[in-house]
Amino acid sequence: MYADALERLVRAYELDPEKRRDLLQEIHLALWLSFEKFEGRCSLRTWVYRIAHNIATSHVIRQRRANSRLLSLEEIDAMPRQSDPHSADRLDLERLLQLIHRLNPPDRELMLLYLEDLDAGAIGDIMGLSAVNVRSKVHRLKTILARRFHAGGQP
Amino acid sequence: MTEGTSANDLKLIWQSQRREHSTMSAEEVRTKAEAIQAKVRRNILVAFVLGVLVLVFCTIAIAELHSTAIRVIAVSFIVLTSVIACRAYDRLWSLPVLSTNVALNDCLEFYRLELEAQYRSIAIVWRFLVPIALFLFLTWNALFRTSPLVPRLALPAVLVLILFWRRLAARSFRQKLSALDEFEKEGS
Repeated sequence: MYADALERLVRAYELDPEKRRDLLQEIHLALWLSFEKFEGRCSLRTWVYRIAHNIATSHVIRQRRANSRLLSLEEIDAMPRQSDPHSADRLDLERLLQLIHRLNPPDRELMLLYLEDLDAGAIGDIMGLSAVNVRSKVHRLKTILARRFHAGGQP
Repeated sequence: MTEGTSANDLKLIWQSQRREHSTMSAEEVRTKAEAIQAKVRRNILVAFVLGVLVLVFCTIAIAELHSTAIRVIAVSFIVLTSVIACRAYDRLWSLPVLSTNVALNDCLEFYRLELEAQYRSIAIVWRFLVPIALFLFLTWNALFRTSPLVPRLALPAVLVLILFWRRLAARSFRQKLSALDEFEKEGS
C-alpha cells in the first residue's frame, strides 16, 4: 500500500542504490516488527511514515561522517546557481532530489511529508510539532525550495 | 508561475517517480533463507556441544565422586541429556537442502517454519544450560575448593540470568510469529 511512498522516501535519504536497497529493507523489517505495537491511536499512514522516517534519519546519522555536510534550505537558497544544459522533464526530478538530498534531516523530513501530500496535522503527529508550527515551516520551506528549483536552470 | 503552482509542481514531480525496486527475486529469497538456515544449524550445533559437555561432566562426577545421591543425579542428567542431544543431532542432519527455485509464494510459510525452528533450537540451548548450572550448583563443593558461598551466590544468580535470557529470546520469537500471523490474516 505504501511501497511507492517508501521508495520515494529512501531515494530522498540515500543516493547509493545498494545502500538504498538496504535502507528500504530495513524500513520494511522495522515496519513489520512494529505493527503489533500499533494501537490505532493515529492513522496507519502516519504510523508508517513515522517509523520509516525514524529509520531513515538514523541511517543518515550513521552515514553522516562519510557524506558531505548537510545544508539548511537557507544555505541552499544562497548557493551559486548552476546552469543546466538539459531541459528534459526527467531532469526535474533529479534537480528536486539534489535539493532534497542536501537538506538537513528535520527540513528534509518535513518537505518529504509535505511532498507526499500529508496535511499539517499528520505531519505534526509524525514530527512531534503543532499543526500551526508545521504550516509555518512548510510555507517557508516550500517557498524557498520552489524558488530554488525553478531558478535552477538560470545562470 | 505563482508560488502555489510551483509548490504543486514539486508535489507532482515528486509523486510521479517510478518504482526502482521490484519484489524480491527468488535468488534473494533463497540467499536469505540460507542465512537463516545457517543460523539454525549453528544453534543446534551449540546445543549438541553443550549436551556433550553435560555428559562429560556427569561421567566425571560418577567416576570421581562417591556420593550415591550425586551419582543418581548425574545418571538422570545423562539420560535426559542423551535424549535431547540425540534429537539435536537428528535435527542437525535433517535440515532440508534448499532448492534453487524457492518460490516467492512460499516465502511466508518458509519464514514461519524457520522461525519455529529457531525458537526450538534456542529452547534446546537453554534446556542444556539450566541442567549445567544446576549440576554445578550441586557438585561445586565436591569438584572445586572455594568458599561455599560462591556456588550459593553465583550459581543461582547465573540460573536466574539464564532463565531471564531465555524468557527474552522466547518472547522475541513469539512476537515475530504473532506479527507473521497478523500479516497473513490481513493478506487473506
